[in-house]
Amino acid sequence: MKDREFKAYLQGSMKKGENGHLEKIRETVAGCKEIMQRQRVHEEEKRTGFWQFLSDVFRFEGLSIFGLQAGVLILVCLQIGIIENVSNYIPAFTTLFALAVMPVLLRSQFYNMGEMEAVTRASGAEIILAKLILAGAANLVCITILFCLIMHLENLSESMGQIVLYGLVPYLVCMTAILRLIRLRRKERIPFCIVAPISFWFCCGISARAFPQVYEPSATGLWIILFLIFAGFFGKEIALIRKMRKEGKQYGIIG
Amino acid sequence: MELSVDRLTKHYGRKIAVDCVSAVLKPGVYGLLGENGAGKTTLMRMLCAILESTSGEVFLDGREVTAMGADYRDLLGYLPQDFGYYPNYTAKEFLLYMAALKGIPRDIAGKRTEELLDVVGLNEAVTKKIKTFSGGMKQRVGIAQALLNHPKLLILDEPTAGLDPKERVRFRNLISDYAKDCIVMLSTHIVSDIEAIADEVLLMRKGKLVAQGSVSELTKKAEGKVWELTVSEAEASRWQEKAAVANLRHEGEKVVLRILADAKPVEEAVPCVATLEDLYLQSFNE
Repeated sequence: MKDREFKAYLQGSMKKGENGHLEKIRETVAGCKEIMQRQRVHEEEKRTGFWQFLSDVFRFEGLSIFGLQAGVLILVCLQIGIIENVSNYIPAFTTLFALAVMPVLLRSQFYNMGEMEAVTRASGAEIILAKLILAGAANLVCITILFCLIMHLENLSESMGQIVLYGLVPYLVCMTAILRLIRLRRKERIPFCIVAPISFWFCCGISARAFPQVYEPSATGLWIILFLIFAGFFGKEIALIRKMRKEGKQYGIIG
Repeated sequence: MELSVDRLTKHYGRKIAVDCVSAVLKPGVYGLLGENGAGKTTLMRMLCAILESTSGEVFLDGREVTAMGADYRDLLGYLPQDFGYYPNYTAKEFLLYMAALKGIPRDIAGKRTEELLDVVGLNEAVTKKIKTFSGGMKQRVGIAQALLNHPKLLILDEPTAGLDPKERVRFRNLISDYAKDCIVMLSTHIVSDIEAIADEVLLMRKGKLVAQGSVSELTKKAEGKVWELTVSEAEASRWQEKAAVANLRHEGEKVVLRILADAKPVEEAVPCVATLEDLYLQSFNE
């Protein structure tokens, strides 16, 4: 019986009933309400899938993810016109894009939300994976724009392949380091998680001036080896997140 | 529904935070009492499967909870003791964010957020940012997020901390109402809260579960061991040194002491009805 029909039936009964029955009917109404409340609680509720979850994360985190990447892109673009040997600075530029992902990835630890988020259906691994997908998409767009701009504005002696290697290797190093630090370090060590990638970025900047030979065409082999190594580490870390997500485990140390 | 805790143990190096705790929990309100460092929070974290136990397991209807993964978390509502919040979110945005993490579809999340903000008495602060909230208001947002997914197992670590008396009463009514079909476990230092709503009390001491039972069952243990004695102020301070004084009340120039002792401490002492607080103090005075 529908709610409205049920209510009308009970009201009808109340009008018909003698005064002595009113109390009984009130009790029945209260009892029915309670039963309905219980039924509502026990109803199997639908849960969103990963893509809906990703869209929800985008709704809440998208602006900060894409905003930070856009901010870094503008900053880097302003530098391109000023500095010499732009290709030597590509590692520092792409590391900066990876650093801009950090506030989003470390946000829950920073604001002490990790414990509360960890007991949700999504789990820590799924939240990190969703943020990484969004941040990766933003990185891909911004770094592509950067490469196109560099190739277009500067008369570089390096090939597109070299430029991509200079950009990707430090990016992969930085992202792998950030993910490993989040996974293995306690939240009290957040400052270390921040300082380590920043130090790496600083080293990339220094290497542009101090070790120009690293950016010679003859060093391309070294870059390819480094790329393969760090792509392997990064891939392993992503595979681990995916596995943890599948098993519904946490990513990082919560308690 | 039945949650079984089987010899759950947690070691932090040499320190034993939780020592072989076993219990069977059925729908109802369970109050977890214990002094600071007794292992309440560690136990709750293990029940939530966010902290790995050193040994022992937790089963929900016969299924090991860590193996249940998202299915278990779907049934779980948790309010941590020290929780943070994203300061720039409004109460509504925060609850919608938590609803998204709990996998609640947007249309249902919107309705439920409004309902819960009303239930916890924050309907007038919906659009205010959480950073502008008082401690009690933040606590109420925390309680609301724990209830978002209609959990079957609700674990609340110090939920009444920071709530004013009126809000505590509102919270107690909410939980009593909620616990008809669910397992609710809450820890608090406010013994009167547990006395008012808990169907069963779990008393923890140094990581061990030292007592379990209803409030009346437990208070029976302290019966005949609680005495009231009216003395002068000078005598009162002497009594405080030599006996376990649960309470001290000034009545004119005299002081009324509530003393916990296995035998009548002096002839003038009058036996009185034991409360849960007496049992609590007695357990921790041993």
